[in-house]
Amino acid sequence: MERRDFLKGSAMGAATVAAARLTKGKDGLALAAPAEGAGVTWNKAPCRFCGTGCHVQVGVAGGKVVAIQGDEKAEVNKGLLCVKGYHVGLALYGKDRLTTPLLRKNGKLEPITWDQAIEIIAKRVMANPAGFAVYGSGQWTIPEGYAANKLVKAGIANNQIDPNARLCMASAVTGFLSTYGVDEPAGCYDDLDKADVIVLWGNNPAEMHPVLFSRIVDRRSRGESVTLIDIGTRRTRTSGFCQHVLTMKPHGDLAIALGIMHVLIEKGTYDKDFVAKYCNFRQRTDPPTLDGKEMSFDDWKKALAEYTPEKVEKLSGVSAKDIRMLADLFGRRDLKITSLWCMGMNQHTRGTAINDLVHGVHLLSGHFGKPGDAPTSLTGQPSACGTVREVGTLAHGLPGGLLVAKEEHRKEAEAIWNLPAGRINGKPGYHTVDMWKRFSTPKAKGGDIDTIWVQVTNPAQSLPNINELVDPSRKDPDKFLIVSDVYPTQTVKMADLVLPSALWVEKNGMFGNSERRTQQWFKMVEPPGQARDDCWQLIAVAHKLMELGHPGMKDKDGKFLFHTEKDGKEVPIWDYKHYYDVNVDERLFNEYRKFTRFKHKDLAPYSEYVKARGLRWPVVEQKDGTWRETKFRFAKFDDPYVTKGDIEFYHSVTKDSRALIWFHPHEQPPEVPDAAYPFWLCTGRVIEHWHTGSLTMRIPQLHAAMPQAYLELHRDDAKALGVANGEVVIVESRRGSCELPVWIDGRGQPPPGSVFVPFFDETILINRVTLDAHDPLSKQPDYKKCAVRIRKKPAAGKV
Amino acid sequence: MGTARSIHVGIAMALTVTAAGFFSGIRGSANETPQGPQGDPPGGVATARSYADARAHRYGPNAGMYDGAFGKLSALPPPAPIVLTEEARLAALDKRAKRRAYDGAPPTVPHRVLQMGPLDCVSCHATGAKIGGVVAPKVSHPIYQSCTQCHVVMNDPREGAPKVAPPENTFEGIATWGKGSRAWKGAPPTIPHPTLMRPDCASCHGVFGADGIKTTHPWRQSCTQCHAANAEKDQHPPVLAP
Repeated sequence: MERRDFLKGSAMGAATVAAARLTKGKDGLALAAPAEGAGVTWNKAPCRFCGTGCHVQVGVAGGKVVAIQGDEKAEVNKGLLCVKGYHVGLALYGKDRLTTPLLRKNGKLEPITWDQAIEIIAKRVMANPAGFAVYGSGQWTIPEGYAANKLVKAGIANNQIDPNARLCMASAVTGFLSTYGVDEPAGCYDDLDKADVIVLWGNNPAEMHPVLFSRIVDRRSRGESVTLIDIGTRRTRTSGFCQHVLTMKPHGDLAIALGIMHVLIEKGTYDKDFVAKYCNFRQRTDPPTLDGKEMSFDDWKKALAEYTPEKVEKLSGVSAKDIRMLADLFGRRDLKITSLWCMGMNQHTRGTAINDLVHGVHLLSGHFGKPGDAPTSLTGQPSACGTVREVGTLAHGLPGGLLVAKEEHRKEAEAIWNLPAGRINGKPGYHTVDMWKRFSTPKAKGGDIDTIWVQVTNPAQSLPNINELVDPSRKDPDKFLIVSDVYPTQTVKMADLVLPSALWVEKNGMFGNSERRTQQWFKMVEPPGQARDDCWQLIAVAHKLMELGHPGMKDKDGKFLFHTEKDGKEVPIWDYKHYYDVNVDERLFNEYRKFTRFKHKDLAPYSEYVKARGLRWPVVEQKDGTWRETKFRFAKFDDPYVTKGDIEFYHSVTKDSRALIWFHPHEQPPEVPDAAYPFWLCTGRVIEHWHTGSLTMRIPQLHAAMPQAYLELHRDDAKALGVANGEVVIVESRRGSCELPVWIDGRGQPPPGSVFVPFFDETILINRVTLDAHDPLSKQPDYKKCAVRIRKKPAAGKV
Repeated sequence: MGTARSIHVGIAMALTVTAAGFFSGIRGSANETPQGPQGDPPGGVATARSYADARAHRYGPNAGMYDGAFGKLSALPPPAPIVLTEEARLAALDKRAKRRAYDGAPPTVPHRVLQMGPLDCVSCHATGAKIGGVVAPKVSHPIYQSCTQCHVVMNDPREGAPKVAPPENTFEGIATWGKGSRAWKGAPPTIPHPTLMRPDCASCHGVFGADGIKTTHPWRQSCTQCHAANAEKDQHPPVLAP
């Protein structure tokens, strides 16, 4: 469906006509002097920022975005936005937008043409296909990620593609896979309207998912009662709204979950019927796998026996009384309980384990599969679910939850893509940390990745331990860094080749949010200068590779991988002049849809998303030809794929429709404070800025409200260190250091011995300090805890 | 219209001042302590009254609070009528524009706020207040719980932090939607701007509103009775038959 077709037949089109009439007053005065702003047209788009997936109404006049409103028809946000969402339109207009391709010559980035840029990339691939990798993003649109995945998996066939989402939700994925056999939450945001109790596991939604948080706490304004329990390592804005604030030691969440289960068993308050009908028990193996090893319920209980509330108090710092309080809530059948988590549980060297355990708490207590009863992970990026988890832009993945390592999956993909048998490589590529390590290691020492093409992300700021993962590559002449972006980020400044990209409503797009909701928008304004769609860039490189004779760029009939026809004739979409002759998003999406049946993640045709404010998959066609979304998976009352029982885990690991309740022991993190490095460092975000701040730091209102990163320090520690509010300290780990001002009793309040630093500020790179240790299964690094020391910055002249 | 309006304005102001005087007279001064059969005996123990008496006779320290209230009010000089001028309107809109990225964006906060904790804002902004020349506008939308979700401070929240140069941004938001249209001269103007998140007109147009956009008839409570909103701007576009 093209935009103009849509406008012709839609209510929006009718409204525009009507509005034109309405502006004419009877006396003709309004006609003579039309109201300012009368020429604004409105259209829907999901917000560009977090994984909540609010819809905004974008007001456009004179070819520019001039206003934003919350979209009242959107079920997610019901007309409300957060401060980032209200200012999202300004993200397009930072003065230093990249507008022309740039190539580093003699150390300086200099303008080149698009043709030259595309040819340089294609020639890097041709020179060493095995050493070429794509590093993508949960901010890729679904069609962009799909095109990148197809280029790498079906074309170059080296599986070297991984996304920044590896840093953000990989442990949530492994948790869902190991528990239910299939990724993504069973519940949805509707649970937040129904839950009596909401448990926040290391989560600060008042700042990170503000609209969802308001959806919860605004229930109180309507006279409803909802109990909020904050389990975290510091007091945050969220804590102020919570009835219970349980401050734990970093890594203490494992023990807390085990303690809750222990009490549920001890008191016999677990849901015996639910467990008997729907659950199996599991323990891990060495090395760990997603499937683990069978375990009897009795053995599982025995393993739990040592986790008494008193022991858990010692391990976690949360009192035995509070562990019993949590267990007693979970033990009640008359309450609805929803758990929420995001980076606290995911950026964790035992990320898979803690995800498994929280699912386990819900399964054991039967707080699952009813509206308000759900374990739900939240995502930080607008399409971490849509583009990464569903399109499978991961080193081991294929679209629709298929895996490159499985021969039958490769065959399915080859059939859909019309590839010759055996085209898809069965060996997974390198995960993010590994990919960058190899890129930063000389060829002679095994650094077999020599070119990385980064799209829609800023790894030189967001990767952990950038001293080791990024910096060395910048001194090695063999290594070539290509970056597609919209602003001169840290990564762009280090790049060898820079491609200027179109941003958000400067292109067509689709995102998938945290509750399985797939969303669509149309291009509304032109990108600046020569900036072009990321998706076009990928297709142009694929076509150039075909011209240079790369065998992978054709299907088995000799047609281009991204062959597109209109009225029986091929459209040269690799030529930017013709890119919008067809709706490439629609073509790619409708092809991708075919993959979504294998794991019951069915998507509707593109045209359905044009009409909707997003639809939650599985979206299943009804007898009357309409499409129905699914709010609650695995539950008979809502999920059409449930065929027996009230709950059916139809992708069960154990193939018996049951979910797995795991046992994972409590463990210490890899690095704990000691005499030399006595403080815990936790990193994260603030409400004003989104991730590395490349967009929000260019928005005057957001910048003014939070212009600089800082270090949150407890008053007692500040006293001991002899530093006052605003004084600059050096924070130092075994890997690196940075300098920044302290903020005492500021936005967040860590307990003594802990400090917090947000990572949005490119002038203060806290990821020179963080640790690249990661979860053994999800490969997601732990940004939430490492050991640092802090000292006051000596006055100038002294050392 | 001119004459009719000034009469309306006059009545409006008289009523407003009446109401204000009425409330400010609640605490009477010592020499106004009511005496006589309705008042309590000075220093003595009050005699218990029947509920029937209580209905008919006021008693207690404020028993005389209504006495002569209207008389006192009418002795006050009449208030200046509200005069809407184009200059004042533009000045008001200009001031508004300085606090938001575009008309419809949540205004930024010109004063310090606590960085933690909910609902601190409503102590002033729930009803609005004017103290000297400083106005705390009434919130224009229903009270939500997490105010800092949308409203951020205009300046670095960290005490004494050095000023960092603002980023350059070429966004030109819609500063104002202009004036509403009138079907004929003297007809009530339509609402020119979207009303999402600002259903309470009194926030900007009420008694604490800036000169130039303040209503001339604050006693009227149902604004949309006369002033029509724009369906398209309010995301309720009329659907015409194809």
